[in-house]
Amino acid sequence: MKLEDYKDISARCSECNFCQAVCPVFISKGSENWLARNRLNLIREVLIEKTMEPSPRFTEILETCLLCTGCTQSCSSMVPVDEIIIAARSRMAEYAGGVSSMKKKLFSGVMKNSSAINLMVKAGAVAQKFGMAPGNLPQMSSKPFFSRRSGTLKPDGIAEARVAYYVGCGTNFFYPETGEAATDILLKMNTEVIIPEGLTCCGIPLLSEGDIEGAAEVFKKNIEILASIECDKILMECTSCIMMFMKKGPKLFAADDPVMEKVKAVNAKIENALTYIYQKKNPGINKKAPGNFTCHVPCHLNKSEKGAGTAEILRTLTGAEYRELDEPESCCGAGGAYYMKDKELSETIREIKLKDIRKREVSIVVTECPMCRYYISKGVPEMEVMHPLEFIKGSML
Amino acid sequence: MSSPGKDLRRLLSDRQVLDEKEDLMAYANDATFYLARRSPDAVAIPLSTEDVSKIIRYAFENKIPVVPRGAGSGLAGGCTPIHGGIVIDMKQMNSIVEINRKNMTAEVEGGVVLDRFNRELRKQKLFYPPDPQSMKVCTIGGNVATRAGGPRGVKYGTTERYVTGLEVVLPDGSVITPGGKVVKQSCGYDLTHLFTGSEGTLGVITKANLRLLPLPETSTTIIASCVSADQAAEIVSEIIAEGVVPAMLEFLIKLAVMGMNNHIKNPIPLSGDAYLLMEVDGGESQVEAEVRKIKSICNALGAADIIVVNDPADSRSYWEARSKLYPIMMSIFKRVITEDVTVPRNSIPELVRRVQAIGASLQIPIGLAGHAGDGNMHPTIMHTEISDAFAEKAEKAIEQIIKAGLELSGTISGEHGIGLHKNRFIEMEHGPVQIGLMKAIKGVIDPAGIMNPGKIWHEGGADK
Ligand SMILES: Cc1cc2nc3c(=O)[nH]c(=O)nc-3n(C[C@H](O)[C@H](O)[C@H](O)COP(=O)(O)OP(=O)(O)OC[C@H]3O[C@@H](n4cnc5c(N)ncnc54)[C@H](O)[C@@H]3O)c2cc1C
Repeated sequence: MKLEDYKDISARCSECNFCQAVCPVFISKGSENWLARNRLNLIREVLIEKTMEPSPRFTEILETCLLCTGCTQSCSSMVPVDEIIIAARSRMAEYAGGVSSMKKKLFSGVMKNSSAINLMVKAGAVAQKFGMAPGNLPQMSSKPFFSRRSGTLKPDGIAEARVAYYVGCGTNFFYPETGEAATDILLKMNTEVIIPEGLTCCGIPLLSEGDIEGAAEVFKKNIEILASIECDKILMECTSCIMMFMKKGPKLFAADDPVMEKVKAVNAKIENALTYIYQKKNPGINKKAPGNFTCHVPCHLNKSEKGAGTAEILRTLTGAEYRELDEPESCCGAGGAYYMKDKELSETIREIKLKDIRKREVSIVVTECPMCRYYISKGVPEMEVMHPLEFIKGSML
Repeated sequence: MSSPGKDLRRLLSDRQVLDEKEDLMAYANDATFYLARRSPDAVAIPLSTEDVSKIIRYAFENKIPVVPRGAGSGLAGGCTPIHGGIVIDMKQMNSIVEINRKNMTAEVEGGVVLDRFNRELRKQKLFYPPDPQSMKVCTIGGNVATRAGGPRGVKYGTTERYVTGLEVVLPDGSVITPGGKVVKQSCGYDLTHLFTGSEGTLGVITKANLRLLPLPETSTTIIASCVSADQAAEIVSEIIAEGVVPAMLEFLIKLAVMGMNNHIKNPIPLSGDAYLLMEVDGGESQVEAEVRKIKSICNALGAADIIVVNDPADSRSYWEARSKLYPIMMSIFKRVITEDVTVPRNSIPELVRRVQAIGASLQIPIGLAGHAGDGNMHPTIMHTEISDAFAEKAEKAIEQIIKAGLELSGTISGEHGIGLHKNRFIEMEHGPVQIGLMKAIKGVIDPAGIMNPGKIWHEGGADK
């Protein structure tokens, strides 16, 4: 949607200010200028009504948002704040042709071409060029997931189900052990796993830079591939990818766009890998508690849809002791790659999370999102941080 | 003349002052943007009572308006800086100074968020009942300044009942501490309760001493689905008359429940035209007995359906959806203006009838969703369009509703305060003598008229 099309939707904001309860930027910085309400009002005045100039301060306020979607998810007036911010960033990039749009070009070149093995290395180089904190990326795995497993994986026994597995970039490049856990468990459950070729990044990182076209392009490419595969389910392990497929991607196309048929067909099959496993194999075969644990709920985990109740599932499957955080759903500060852009803010947000985590005195922190995983692990080196699939692996095999 | 932003930076620190226009815009209004918007000249963010004193002394010396602000969730335009000046954002003064179990009191700074306070209390099985539905964000300072209430008002009363003492920075920068930690006091005029409800027009509340209660042992939610708004109102009156005191007793028209249902996992069955959402709390046996009594009253008066909610998660989701009703209605209508008339509980059926008649005669939708248990009905003007014609009708409706409330021996505001929203009506309720007294008090405490000018009554307070 174009920015102008959001004008009426944005007017639904009742200015109740309830977003104060969830916005990590507001919670860290403490003043209302960083709130969704002000962002919406500024976007209207600067970019739609044009009664104000797009000043550096405006740009700063627009850029200082981790797109955690906390405000959107909790907004009772149902204003899609994150989408409006993305549309505004896109407009700003068009205007300026400055840093923002250069950054966009470089990033999208890298992201769209995920066959480039060193995707994140390149992204890191880009980050460095633009003065984002260098050397702050997860360790690239020497052997990414796709060079460990590919094609169609057949179980030893007779296949009872056939699933396609969309492997997130985080799993591919940084944490291939997540993908190994997923496939090991699925195979053990006599499930045939297809790892389709040619899939790319889901597009979320492009969207957050305001590259709507780029995101639409990769989304469409992924949909075409997934739609062509015969399978019962399409499994994903990254909550941001799921959000992109289920919520954000479909909105990039008009309802009557030919691709929407395929989007619907694909989305009807998408399932959070953990939930799928849990439902099929409930409860775990041999309860093997890997250690007491706590859960950080990634912002992009669509609470209402694909994959609520991770902690409960893990407890049931493994028998491990769960210690809930005071604020399991508060942002960890990573914001995808945002932490490279604004180190100070991200660290302030993270510190709130870390305090909460340390109080639990657990040995393991579980979280679905690879970026949350990395960023939290840097803050609590004494603990193990892992994906839920790795956590249950021992109990499922 | 130098600018307040620059001057304040010298008095405080760089981080405690905002004066770029993009930042100031965030402080131009509360939750009633349709009443007025105006950016302040600067925002000051105090970290201590001393900071507040410094800011106010500066404003006093330079005759600059000062507007205290909590979360800005007000529904009366109370913290909208209509004359510009300095907004004091209290949210960083957010420490819970003391929770005193043995005295059942707490001392908190003005910027403490209500929900956070209650979460801390719950850890010690304690409870601070006032529950304005904005609890996730609103501040104790804002609650005290408006005498905020909520569904629990029916059993537990509203904020003023819990305030035993305050620390207030006066409009010349000096600090007073009326009342204190004692739970009773008979010592001169009750200044504590003069500042309680003063809507930022007499000084800045930097600390509050509050009474606490033990957390009720258990609670149960009940939903009565009623065939008509009239019937629901009759049931409310009957419940009160029978001596049952629910902890919460909310009145909801069908449209409100329909909106809420979009945010609830197990939606409320839509079998009636009006609904009562209730909670009873206390000891196990008391709760059981009250549930029985309420059920039998509802049955006797012919309610369509009575649901006793057994799953605590469901109860929570109903109450949470209730707390978001105002923004939920904004996803359906173009604008929503909430009135705050409160009448004696026996007059609720009559108020309901009159409000419905007003809506019918002006041909605009007026919703009813309120804390019926304490007579606070929140008739809500729901704008189907933004136009002068509609605004004119809305104006008329508001005036007629307010008159109806007063005719029924009610008040024009039960909990939101007067602010800008109702300042043209306040004299209708209090008459010239009382207003004269109030203005005289204002004149003594704030002779320069710098504290939140233009609120409660037109232009500043003291007659000049
Ligand atoms: C969706 C929604 C639901 C609501 N539900 C209820 C409800 O059920 N019951 C209810 O009573 N209200 C309700 N409100 C209104 C509002 O939340 C309350 O009035 C609340 O008490 C305001 O607190 P605040 O911190 O946001 O104050 P603000 O809006 O910032 O200020 C309110 C007034 O208090 C003054 N003030 C604030 N802090 C101080 C201070 N430290 N010292 C002196 N003066 C100060 C301001 O100048 C202003 O006049 C609701 C609002 C919304 C948006």
